[in-house]
Amino acid sequence: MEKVIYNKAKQRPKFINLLKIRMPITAVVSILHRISGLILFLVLPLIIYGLGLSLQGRDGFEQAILISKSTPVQLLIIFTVVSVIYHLLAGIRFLLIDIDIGLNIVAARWTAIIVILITVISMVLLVIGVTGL
Amino acid sequence: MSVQGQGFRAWLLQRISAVYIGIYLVVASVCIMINIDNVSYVQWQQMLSTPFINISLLLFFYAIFLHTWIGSRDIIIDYVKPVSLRLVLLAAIALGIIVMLLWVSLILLSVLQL
Repeated sequence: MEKVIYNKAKQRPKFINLLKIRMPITAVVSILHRISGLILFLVLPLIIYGLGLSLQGRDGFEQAILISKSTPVQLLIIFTVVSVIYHLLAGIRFLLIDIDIGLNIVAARWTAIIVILITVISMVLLVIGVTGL
Repeated sequence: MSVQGQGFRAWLLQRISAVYIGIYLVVASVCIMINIDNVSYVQWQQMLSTPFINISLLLFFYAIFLHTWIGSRDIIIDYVKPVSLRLVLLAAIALGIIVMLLWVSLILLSVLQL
């Protein structure tokens, strides 16, 4: 009996290529959590630079405000804030799952959809708010 | 520290740092949104030199560094299989985190008024 199961398991096709796997939404939320975390890590030095500049006297403060108002930086800020919102919401979801809240598959799918929905809505609101459309 | 204990300790630290970062982010965002009207340099400087805000912000960054270290370590262990490449990436990330840690400490502690 054990041997049959072992053979069956061996015959299954293996798709390690992430692009070929049709991922369930719960897996998408998980991988996006990692990607948004990586993005935030890469943005971190820029945030520290901005903090340092804003505390380098009056001139530095004015310069930091000026830089933060340029279009590329505004886009970067939106991108960063959306990453933070997503990473935070998905993180709260994982913490709740850790304490057995939303652990079953139906609830896990719904909370995954809610996390993505709130992120998309906040992104749209941010873009509207910043560009003043 | 036992080998078995390492994974659990990292797992726990990841969650404790997450809770601090999360609560800090929400509280700080609300405070900023309430006082958004044209903050002057003097106000900004005075706010960040207050011991409570200064130290809690520094701890916020330290929590992020810890969280980042555990998170990137998990990602690298999952996706990067060659041991040499793993070590190079981990060393690069560790170096980056140490530099940022010293950098932000210098920035914040230089304005701290006790």
